[in-house]
Amino acid sequence: MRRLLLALVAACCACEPFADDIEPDRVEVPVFERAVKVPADPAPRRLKVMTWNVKYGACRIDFWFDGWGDRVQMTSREVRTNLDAIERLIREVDPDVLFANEIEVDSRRSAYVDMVQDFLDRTSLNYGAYYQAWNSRYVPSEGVGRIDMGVAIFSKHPITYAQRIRQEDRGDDDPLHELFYLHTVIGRAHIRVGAREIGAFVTHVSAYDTDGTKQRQLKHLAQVLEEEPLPFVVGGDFNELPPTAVKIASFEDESPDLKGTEFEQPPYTPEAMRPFFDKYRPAITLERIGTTEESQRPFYTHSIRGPNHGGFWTRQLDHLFVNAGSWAPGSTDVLQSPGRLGITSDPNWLSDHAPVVGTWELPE
Amino acid sequence: MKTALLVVAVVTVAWPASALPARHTADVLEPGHWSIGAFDPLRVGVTRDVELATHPILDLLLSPNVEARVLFRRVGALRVTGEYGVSVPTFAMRLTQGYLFPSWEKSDNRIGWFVVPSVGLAVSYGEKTVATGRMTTSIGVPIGRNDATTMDTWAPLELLLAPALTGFRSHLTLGLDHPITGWLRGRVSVDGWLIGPSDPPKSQVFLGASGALDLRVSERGTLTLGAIVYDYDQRRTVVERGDDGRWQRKRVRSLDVWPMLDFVYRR
Repeated sequence: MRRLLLALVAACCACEPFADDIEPDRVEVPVFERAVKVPADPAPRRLKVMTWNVKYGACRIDFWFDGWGDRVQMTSREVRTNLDAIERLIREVDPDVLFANEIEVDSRRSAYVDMVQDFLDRTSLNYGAYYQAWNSRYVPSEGVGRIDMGVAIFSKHPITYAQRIRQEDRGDDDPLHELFYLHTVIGRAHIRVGAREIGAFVTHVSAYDTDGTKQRQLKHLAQVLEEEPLPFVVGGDFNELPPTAVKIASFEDESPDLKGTEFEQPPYTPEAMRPFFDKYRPAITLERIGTTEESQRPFYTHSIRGPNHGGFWTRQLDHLFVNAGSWAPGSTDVLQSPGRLGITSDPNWLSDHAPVVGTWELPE
Repeated sequence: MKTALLVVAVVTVAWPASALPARHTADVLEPGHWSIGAFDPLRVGVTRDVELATHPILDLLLSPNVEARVLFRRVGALRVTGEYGVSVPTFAMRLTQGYLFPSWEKSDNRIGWFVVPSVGLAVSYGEKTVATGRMTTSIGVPIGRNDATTMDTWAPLELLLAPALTGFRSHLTLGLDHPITGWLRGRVSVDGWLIGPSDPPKSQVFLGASGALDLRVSERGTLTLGAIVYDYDQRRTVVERGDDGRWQRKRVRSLDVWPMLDFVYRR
């Protein structure tokens, strides 16, 4: 049905299709670079890794699908101001590897700013691989318009290979919605660190499906990781709570207006994260987050409602894992507020997700 | 093949008397005459020198519009016509809230009221083969507050609402309409549009070219088949290697081809 729709659309008019189906399943993608490289440690034994869903540079502007506002697009000035603040925090953390979710390169809602190149130009990161997940020429819903959004892996060290791995689409969308809506991809990269290569994966699985798509996507991610021959780090917005999460429903930051809409949060399934915590080494361990709401709260990474509504982080959705080596003691944290790992920026104003950071001691 | 020839022969014999008129010229309809198409405007000849026109589809979309076309001068095969229009696109824009425009259910943002006056001049030369040049400018006059911005969507829609959303739209077109037989005419045109600025800046120039055939299918009915191509900036980017070997995202213009299909009935 989707192909039929695409064919009809193509026959009707345009040379550029209505929307990109993000095919094929695996494809090499270009690596963007900083014009003038910032010198990096030529033979590092450890890498500081950061994962952050940057919410397309919107900071805490209330967009319509969050239920707390009705904004659809930002002005050029707003995007510039927001990116300046986001990039300031990235410079403060100064990661060797950055996983970015919800980064945009040519979207109407973010004033068509190429955020991948912007991050490269305004931080110490030299290389960036962009994995497009949503490419629609014009989304005829709420005036969203053109959108080009995805995930990205940035690195101070050369990215020698970048591959986009497509995941299955939601099975509970109608064909028209599926045509214009975002897809899900895994970003894979090989990074040359001194004399060796490491693997890096960024993920952002489905958030709102109600047919088990997210769980299948997580299984698929686990399979992809299983196949990786290099020591690797994986990070991103898993849209899932850790398996021992205490609070798994009735989050106070969910707008009652979203009840019954396509943006209502479906029930979480924390056990779907168990394989990652069992098999790999998480930056934030289950022992550390403990078994009470109080002990887990300092590691929450997401809140729909920002400080402009008195909101604070309500759940942990963003994770970092390595399959070899270890996390340097005292180096891992969720940057919820100023002071965490010495930062002065306030991440609660910069996105609806908090960054997760850790220093990976590379295996010998 | 035989069937096609037979159809051509029948059509040719059936309506040989009155030649198919050229369209989109500076001519105005004679008093009492009228024509209407699915996309072609409803035109009504009022006096020998004045014709009124309105686009029914836009009217149905609650965007009332009317144009008065006044024949200034006719010297031999030369005709000069002034064209004066006004439209109110606000209803249509509000009708598409939730799709083309935000619903704004939580704020007091709104699509404002606009009146769009337009003025144009059309010059045609020739009786059978007709060459026409036309220049039209439309200005969006806001009445009160408006929060809607440019859509950056497909050219026809973008041009339609450009006066309201960018401030103005100027259109220059040069066309040639040529009779092939008594029941078939061919028409080509080249177009250029200039619209107002938007944030962030983009090319304000739209270019177009079209070709169409008008086929008489009954004594009063004409079928139009053709295509129009638009060259414009719809914020598209492509990734290319730059001169320094680095991958770069570059902004390129979009090129779209749209089919033209219409049925025009005239009396």
